[in-house]
Amino acid sequence: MAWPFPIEEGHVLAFTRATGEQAPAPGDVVPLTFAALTALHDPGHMRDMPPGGPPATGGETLLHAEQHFEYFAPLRVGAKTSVTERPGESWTKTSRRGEQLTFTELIKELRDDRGELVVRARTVLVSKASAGAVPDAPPP
Amino acid sequence: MTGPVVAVGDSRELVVCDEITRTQIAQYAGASGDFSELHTDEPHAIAAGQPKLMAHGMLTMALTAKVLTGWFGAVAARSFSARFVAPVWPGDRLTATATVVSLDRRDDGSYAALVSVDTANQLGDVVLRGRAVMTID
Repeated sequence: MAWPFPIEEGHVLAFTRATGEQAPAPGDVVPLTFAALTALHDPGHMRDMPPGGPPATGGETLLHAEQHFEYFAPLRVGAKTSVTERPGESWTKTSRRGEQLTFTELIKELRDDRGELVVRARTVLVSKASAGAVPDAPPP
Repeated sequence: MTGPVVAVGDSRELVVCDEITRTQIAQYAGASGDFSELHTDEPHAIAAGQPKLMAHGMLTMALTAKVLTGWFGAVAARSFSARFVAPVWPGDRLTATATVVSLDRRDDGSYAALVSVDTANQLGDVVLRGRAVMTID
């Protein structure tokens, strides 16, 4: 599935306010990690989230372990890109504390309006059963 | 022939954030769409075993990028990778250190610098270990 990811000036401004940077002007190159912010335009993002917040994870903690970007062309404010997403590899490992860790990869590619690859982003997530985790409380 | 403007072993250090704040974490959640309860719901984060809200790893990576783009420029990046090796909390002060590991001359006469970048908190604990390839004309 592909969805549009316009590089909007206001979205970039919101990002740079969070990071304390000067916002780039239209036509300028966006900060290096901005390509990860595709969720804003992802039609499936948070679509099924209940009113009480994100669903309980059943005692499992999901964390962001690694992030990788490859840049094939500069990504500029005002560009019209589209995003495709696919799963990458998955593997398991036992931590030094004996926890079973499951790693999963997610690969996103941003292409410009001519179909040329601009950025490839690879996310590695790790999930582990956490003894301290508790299910979400029901909404009040 | 002109050589590259940096040499192997050259290093830059930059305080990329004086103090991580809860407001900043909320701002990043809004911009990124990552509203995980570990980043946005402190009672839940504490119930899940965390001492307080955790900053997004991607916020730390975004802050770390400042030392690279401030040195080489944003258009110079060919790759940027990071491992999130320790959590970042509200109140943390983050300092990123970038070091040129190797330099390779490319066919077009420019150079590709492999740069290591580590970000540490105010205790000196490394929270992010990264690598980037930056080009130099």
